[in-house]
Amino acid sequence: MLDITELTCPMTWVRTKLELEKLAPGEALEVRCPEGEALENVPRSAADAGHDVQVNGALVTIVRR
Amino acid sequence: MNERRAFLKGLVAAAVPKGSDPLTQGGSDPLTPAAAPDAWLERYSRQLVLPQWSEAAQRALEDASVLVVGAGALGSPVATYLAGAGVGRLGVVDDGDVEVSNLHRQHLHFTPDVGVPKAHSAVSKLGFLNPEIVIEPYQAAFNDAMLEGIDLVVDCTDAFATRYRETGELFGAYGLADAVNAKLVRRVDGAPAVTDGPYLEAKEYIASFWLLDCESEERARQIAADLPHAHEQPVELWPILHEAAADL
Repeated sequence: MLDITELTCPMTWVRTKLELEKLAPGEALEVRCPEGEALENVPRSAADAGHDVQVNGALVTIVRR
Repeated sequence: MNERRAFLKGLVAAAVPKGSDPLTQGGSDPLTPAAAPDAWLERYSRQLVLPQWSEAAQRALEDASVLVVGAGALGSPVATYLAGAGVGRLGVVDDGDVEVSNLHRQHLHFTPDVGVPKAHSAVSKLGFLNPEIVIEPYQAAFNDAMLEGIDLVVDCTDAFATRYRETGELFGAYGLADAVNAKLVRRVDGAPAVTDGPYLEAKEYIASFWLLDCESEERARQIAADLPHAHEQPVELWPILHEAAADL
């Protein structure tokens, strides 16, 4: 679980991206996002990078491609 | 010098947190990986975020050593971006001093730097730009000994012609048109008689030539060997006699 609720864009996605780099393909990362901009940007950036993304409230689940 | 020192001190006071003064450290400290990971992340965030970049790539860059040869109009932006990007060890080589005429295009040098060695002027600015990397000045002409432990050398020196025009030794540099464009001229009955082509006897063609005025033949050899193509094409060195000898 990665908590980025204290961060603002674009550091929210920077932190998420670096955590994803540590994972093997197919592994999942749960990210707790702050409400607002980040909850739009982080899932979109992850999807743009080719990862599978699921959003459940403020919890974003990203499966590394 | 005092004026410049005061100027740089002012920059330090305005921009650098206490205890990390690149001037008093005579360069900068290497990045300690454990120190302030958030600052590290902030500093490189805009390149870490790029799809083609990663934390592993950033760490590899921090392990790299790059030598920038020349701290002028080309070396300034090259060294600036390499330092900003976080190349772990950066060397700057230049044997010249800052001149006021350099300033409009060599952006690492400022007015108070006039008269200061360019290598030192550049390195002091780069230390402000990125105190997390090691930056070393070499106030000397480039030599092979500087390559020790270096992963990449970036040649940011002047073009050949610029360099030797500045020393006053190069009078002219000329490329010759293809030999089929050459003409032979004789005087026949008081008028020019022209035929096409160079001398039939010619076994080799000269593609270009440079007119030098140097203090010694040894110096001329140095300059000839410095021509960009001298490692693959020989350069013929040919002393010129006084005008009076042209009738021989």
